[in-house]
This record gives sequence, structure tokens and C-alpha cells, in this order.
Amino acid sequence: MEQLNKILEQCVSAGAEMADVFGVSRRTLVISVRDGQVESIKKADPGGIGIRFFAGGKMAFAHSTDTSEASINSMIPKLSAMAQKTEKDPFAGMPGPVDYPKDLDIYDGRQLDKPVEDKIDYLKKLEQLALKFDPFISKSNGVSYEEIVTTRSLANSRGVRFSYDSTFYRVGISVVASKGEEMFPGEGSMFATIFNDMPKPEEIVAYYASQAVQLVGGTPIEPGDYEIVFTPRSAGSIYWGLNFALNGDNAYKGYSFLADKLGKTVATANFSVIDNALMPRGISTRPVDDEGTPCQKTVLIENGVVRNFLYDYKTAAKAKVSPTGSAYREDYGSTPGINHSNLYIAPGKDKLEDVVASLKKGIIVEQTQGWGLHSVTGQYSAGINGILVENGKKIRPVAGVTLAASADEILMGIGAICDDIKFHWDMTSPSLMIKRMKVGA
Amino acid sequence: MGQIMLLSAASFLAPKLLSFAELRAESAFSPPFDDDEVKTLLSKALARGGDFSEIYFESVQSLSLKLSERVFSEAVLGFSEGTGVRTVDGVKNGYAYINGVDFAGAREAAATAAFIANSPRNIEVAAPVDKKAPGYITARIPLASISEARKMELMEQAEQVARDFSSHIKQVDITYYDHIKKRRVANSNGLRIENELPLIWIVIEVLAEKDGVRHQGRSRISAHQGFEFFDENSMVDAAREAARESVDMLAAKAAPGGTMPVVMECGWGGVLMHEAVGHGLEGDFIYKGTSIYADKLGKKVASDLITLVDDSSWPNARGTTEFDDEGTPGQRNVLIENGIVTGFMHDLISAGQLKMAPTGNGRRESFHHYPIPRMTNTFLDNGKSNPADIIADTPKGIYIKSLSWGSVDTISGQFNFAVREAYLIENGKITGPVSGATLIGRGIDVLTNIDAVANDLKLGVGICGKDQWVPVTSGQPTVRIASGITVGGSA
Repeated sequence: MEQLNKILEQCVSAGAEMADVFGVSRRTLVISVRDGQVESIKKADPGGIGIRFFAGGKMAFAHSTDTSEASINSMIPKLSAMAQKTEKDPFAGMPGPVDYPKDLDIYDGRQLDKPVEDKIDYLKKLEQLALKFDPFISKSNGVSYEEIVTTRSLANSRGVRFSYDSTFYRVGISVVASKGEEMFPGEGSMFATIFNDMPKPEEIVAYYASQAVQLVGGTPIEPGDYEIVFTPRSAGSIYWGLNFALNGDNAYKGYSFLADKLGKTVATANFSVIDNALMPRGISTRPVDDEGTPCQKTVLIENGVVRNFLYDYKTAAKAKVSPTGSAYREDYGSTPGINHSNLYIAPGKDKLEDVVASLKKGIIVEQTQGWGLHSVTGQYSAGINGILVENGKKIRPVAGVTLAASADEILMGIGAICDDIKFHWDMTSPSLMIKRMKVGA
Repeated sequence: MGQIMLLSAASFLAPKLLSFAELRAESAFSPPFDDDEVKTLLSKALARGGDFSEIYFESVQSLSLKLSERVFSEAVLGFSEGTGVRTVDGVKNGYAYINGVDFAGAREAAATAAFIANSPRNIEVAAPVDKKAPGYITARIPLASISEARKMELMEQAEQVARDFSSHIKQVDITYYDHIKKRRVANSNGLRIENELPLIWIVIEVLAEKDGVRHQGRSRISAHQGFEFFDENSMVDAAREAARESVDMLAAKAAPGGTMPVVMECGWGGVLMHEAVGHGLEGDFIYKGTSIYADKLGKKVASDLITLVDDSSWPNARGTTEFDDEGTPGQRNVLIENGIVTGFMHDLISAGQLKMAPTGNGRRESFHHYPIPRMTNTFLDNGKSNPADIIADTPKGIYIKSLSWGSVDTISGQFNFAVREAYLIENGKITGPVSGATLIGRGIDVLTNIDAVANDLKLGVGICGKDQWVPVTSGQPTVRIASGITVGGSA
């Protein structure tokens, strides 16, 4: 913090009327195991700083891995020269100091302190469980463990000072189910901020290995209209697009199919989308965003009506609204942009079994390939793998088909929202049933 | 550009200002470790055994300029420098890295990397022999010698052309990025090699809107080359192309669904081969047995028309490496020749596992990563057909002018692509535009179903992600895939 303060002072003496200095330092460990052997261990302490420098309303940004005094001293005059070359941005601004939410429980030091050997053993056991899950599982493509401790710090010329630590854990699994020549993957990762929140190895295995086993041997089906169930695994093909469409910058510039839909009904009354940066122990929980605006819970779509978009300080000024604490820097070297925190489609009350039992001619989509819902055009298009259901009964696996519809057909055609949401990812959804989508084959 | 545009290019040329270019030239690259230090680090990394150890040093100075909503909103100057130490034992990688070139830090990294190995052997670190980079990449006009004002002027011209193209154009976003990357690789087998790579990367996005219908056109140009790149490549042409696409596609109808012949225009459409076939020929998937091509060496997997090449020696192309990030020189690798699998793409580990020669495909995004087998410039080689004849010879199908992006599951071989610009082919003629299509299929089915390959090979530029991002090109001549691809449209 002292270093950031000092750099900030240097910026001001060099003529900056507004500046911020953002620092990231990390401690990372990644271990992967395949076939009972450690395949890789990667360890590092990456980090660096980024400086935003405003002179005459014009901005320049520099970032460096080298935070030595000599390096910073040579950087500041360059910033000052650079700022004269950009153009004045009437919306440029920075937040002032306020109190930030506390006690969000986003640091777990106990897991960090465990010896590497324990983490390797954990992975070996996880892999064995996966290989024993089902006779169709023929090989492991590797399991992995990742831990990251991040310190994010900021000092700005309006008096904001913060620095906080958070932890992030990931456990990944990749197995292959085989039938004859055909191979099918079951893979993915689950995340946690507090390692105890990570599902038990059995649950991780069941979640991803079952996917491979269920889908192996899939074949195309008759093209036409089907009832479609998106499970939490495949609903990403809907919320990825919604996330971009609900980004305030995209909406402001028109790069969003929801751009002119504020206050309008775009979905059925049971459909809500929420971004909650204050969810205790959440994967993307944070007290303050990367510009210094306090974080919050933001309801984006409420009972089918668009209520808000996600904003950083500048885009909020342009759109004449309040920032939502959504400024995000991917690393020290990135200028702030807008990003979601814990974003989710609100769960409903339906039970997945009941919804499946109610299908006349439908598909439970387990896996999608491709973009899914396109955030600019609002068109949904993807390749899918799943299970064919007729009169409430699961018939057989489906592969090699495509699924298409407009956002309107999807969001205004939601037949059921289930109660099976899990917060093991920073974007998530319960299972959703859409009354009608077009399958191509 | 409204009021702000009045700050024309001339005002950027105020003589008292140092250009960033001059400023950048000031900071020299950090000195490398001396011979003794290199030897100490490489030995330390082999303290618990292993096949070899390696030091990778990288220093990148970058400039990024962004023109958005008619304003030069961002100028970013970046500096990143670091050192990675790796120990390789069989298929195992131990890797640690530090910012900068601090020797004490690098020694600690070497000790961390050594942890992976457990095969105590006495391995002598060989005396370093300097290898010369092959010279596939040239910079007659160094990027740092051109003022930012000149770069901004080119962007403004391009922006104006896109805006003027049509009244339906609503937004133009242009990002200019260049960098100079210095790399040094030294390993315990005595290899030592270094060079400096320039990179230019320009992305132009244009949004058109009419009656609530939106389309975002995109064009990208890039090369590892000095500023003479712009003698033959024009930002203005690229902007006009993105604007044309965004406006033409406003009239698009919903794409048809079903299996139909697909004619893919030359260029970036090669990403189909990259995803559908290329990834499955990367050596790590081969030795792990998780590619459908694992047991196909010497076997016929495609029609006679198919020759697939990965060429990291293509002069100045975006995927060209000079030498890969393990120090293996770039070269032309024929992966499939007249339908028969003739080779794979290797890094040192996969080559060693399969007892084949390294092919120069061990690449990494930055010093934050250890290398893995990756593509470089991957393309389907020229055939003999005339592109116009292929279209004329197709009674009904879809003509794909450009794809946004795609992905593949190497295990199942299933791929998918989001189509950006496409047209119907009716009675041998290209007719109306169609939107909202996805292409899906299996790579092996595409290979056997290509029934026409034209003679107009072109490379398209892009970026490829496989845990790490690397610059690549994908290319192909115009081709027809008679069946095996499903078009997922809603009409």
C-alpha cells in the first residue's frame, strides 16, 4: 500500500489531475495427476501494477511486472507524454472513499498451509473414484487442483485506499467413456473460495463422469420442434449470452439484444437474473470493485422485466445511472471493464424429475457446443448432446443435432424453473424447461 | 468524429513531445544470466533427476491503442518480463517462474521445478552452444521507429471509411496492438537460442443496425513483421470489409437447418480444419490416446484431395515462430498427404514419448506457462478446382464466407462453428444472406466428405486457446464439403 501511495504521489507531481494505481499479487499452485502419476506441478508468485493517469481529461495507462523504483521513475514521464496523445473523455471519473462491506469470508488459509503431498493424494483418490464410477469409463484424461491467493490493492487520487486478500480453489476432472471406437468426454471444474465448500470427490465424479456415461452412443433424432430441458450443466448456453447482453457497456453501445429493453418484459414472470457480489463465501464475492466502488447485489431481470445492467464508473456516468460495483480488471495489466460477480438465474420450485416426467416429446440437454444465445442478435444456435424423452420416459442418448430459437422464443417460453441450483461456479442456473425449440439434424 | 475529431492527427505531432516509440526504445532488455549462472540453474532444476531442464526468459513491450465511440479512449503501454524454469521427467513437467531476471528468485524456481522428478541420476548439464534463429521473420521498419501519431492516423482513416460506408453503421471499434517480444531459451542439453519477434494485430468491429436488426461485422489483420506490413495490408480495406459485412447481413433471413453441401470460402474458413482435424493431430492427445487419430499414422483418413500442413516457417505469418518456445526451429510439417496421415505436431515431450523428431510445435502463451503442442500456420493445401466452378457445380447448399469462432472436443471429435456471414446457394448461384447458423459435425466425417478443393489458398489470422492463448493462422482454398456437416438454423 505504501508503494502504491508513493507512485500515486509521483503521478500527481507529474501533472496528473486524476490517477489510480492498482496492484495485484498472487501466489498460485497448480497440480495435475493422470494415471496415478503427478503430471505437472506449477508454482509461481506473479504480479504487477497498472497506473491510470489522467491529464486534461485524457487518459493513459501503463502496466509493468517490474515495480522497482527505477522502473516506476522511468514510467511516469512516459505516462504523462502518452496522456497528451489520447482524446478527452467527458465521462472519465473515479469514485471517492466510502466504507466497504466486511466479513464476506473470502479467505481460506488453512487449505493453503496443507503440504503439497496431501493435495497430490487428494487428486489420486479423485481419479481412482472417477475410473471406478462406471464400466463405460475407460480412461482418465487427468485431474487437476488449483489454488490462488490474490491480493488486490488500489490507491486513487480521490482518496480511495483498499487492499484485500481472497482465495480461490478449483478441482477439475476429465474422463473418457468408450463404446467400440467411439469416445465421449466427461469433464469440467468446480470452484470454491473456502475449500470446505468444494463438493466431496464423490459428488464431483458423479457430476462429470455421469455425463460421459449417459451420452456415449448417442445418435441423431428426427428434426422438428421439441420441449427442451437445460440442466445446470447446459444452461450456460443461455446465461453466457445473457451476461454479455446485461453488460452496461454493450447495452449502451447497442451491442446487446436487450439494449433498449430497460423496464420492458423480455421473459416469463418466473424468470429473474441476479448478480450478487456480496454472497457470503461466493466464488466471485468481493467487497469493492477494481475501481473502488463498493460491491452490491443487483437484480438485472426481475420477474421477466429488465431492471438494470452492470456498470462501472464511466459507463454509469454515460448512461446517467449509478455504478453497480462491476468494474473488473482481469489482471494488473488490464484497464477496468465491466464483469459479473456471482451471476445466476434465480431458482424456482419445480423438481427436475417432475419436469422430465411431464415431457411429451423432449430432450434433456446435457452438453452444448458453440455459443448458444448470441448476445448481440439474440439468436440461439448450438450443437447439443442429451437424452431423448418421450411421454415422460428417457428413451436414448442423442448426439449430432443442433438447436435453434430466438431469445424471445426461449425467454417467453419458459415452462418450468427447477430448484436444483448449485453455486460451484461464478455463473450458474437451475434446470430450465423451454416449451418449444427447433432441433435440426 | 464530432468535436473531439478536431484534435486532428497534426496536433499529435507537437514537436516537443517525445513519441512513445522513442520512449520505448530507451529501455533496453535486461541482461541474461551469465554462463555460470545458467549452468547453476539448470543443474539445480535436475537435483532430483529428470530428462532435461530448461530456462525460458521473455520480455514483452507492448502498445495498444483503442478507438471507440469516435474517441481515442485508451493508450496502453505494457512491460512484462519474467523467467521460467522447467524440469521434465518423462511426461511430467515441474514449472515455476518469477517476474524479471533475479538470480536468487530463479534459483528458488529451479528448486521448485526439480520437485517433480524422482529418478536420481547424474545428469551433466552440457556446455551451451548458441544456435541461430532461421530468419523467417523480418522487420525492415522496426515497429518502435514509427510514432504513435502515425499509427493513430491510420486508425482514424479506417474509422472514417467504415462510418462513411452506410448510414446504418452505428459503431466502429478499432484496436491497434503491437509488441516486441524477446525470447531466450537454454536447456541442459546445451541448446541456447534467442531472438526478437515483432507482432502487429488489428481488430476492427463494425455494428450496423436497421429496424431493430443488428449485425456486427469484423475483420482482423496481423503479422509478425515490421511496419512495412502496411505496404501491402491496409487498415482502410479491412474497415471497409467489416462495414460491408455488417450492412450486407442486415438483410439476412434465418439460416436453414439440416445436412446440406457446404462451400467454404478461402481464408479463415480454414479454422474448420484447425478445429475439426488439427487439434486431434497434436502430439499430447496422440500419446495420451485421447485423439481419434492416435492409431492412424500411415492410414487413409481423408479423400485424396486432402493435404494438411502446419508450417511455422511461413515468412512473417501470424503463426510463424522462428523457433518454438523450447528452442526447436520452425519448419513445414505435412500432417496429412493425399488423405494419409503422415505426421503429428510435437513438443519435446510428445516427440520423446512417441520416439519421433520434434516438429517445432512446443508453444506457450507467456513465461506464465510451460509449452505444450500447438498449431502455428495450419492450412489445407491447394487443389486444382476453380472456386467459381465449385459454386456453379452446387445445385443447393450454403456458402460460408466467414466463421466467428469454433471449438472441438478432441475426445469425441465433435466440432462446432458459429457462422458470421453466409449465403444460400441455389441452382449454382450465391443468393441471399442467412444468419444465426451453427455448423456441427465430426472431423473425420468432414475429411472423407470434401469433394472439391480450389486453387486459391489464403491464410486467415486468429487466436487459439488450449489452456493458453497463442497467435495462429488457419487457411484453406475454397472447398466443398458434400455431406457430414449439419447446419443448425431455425428456418
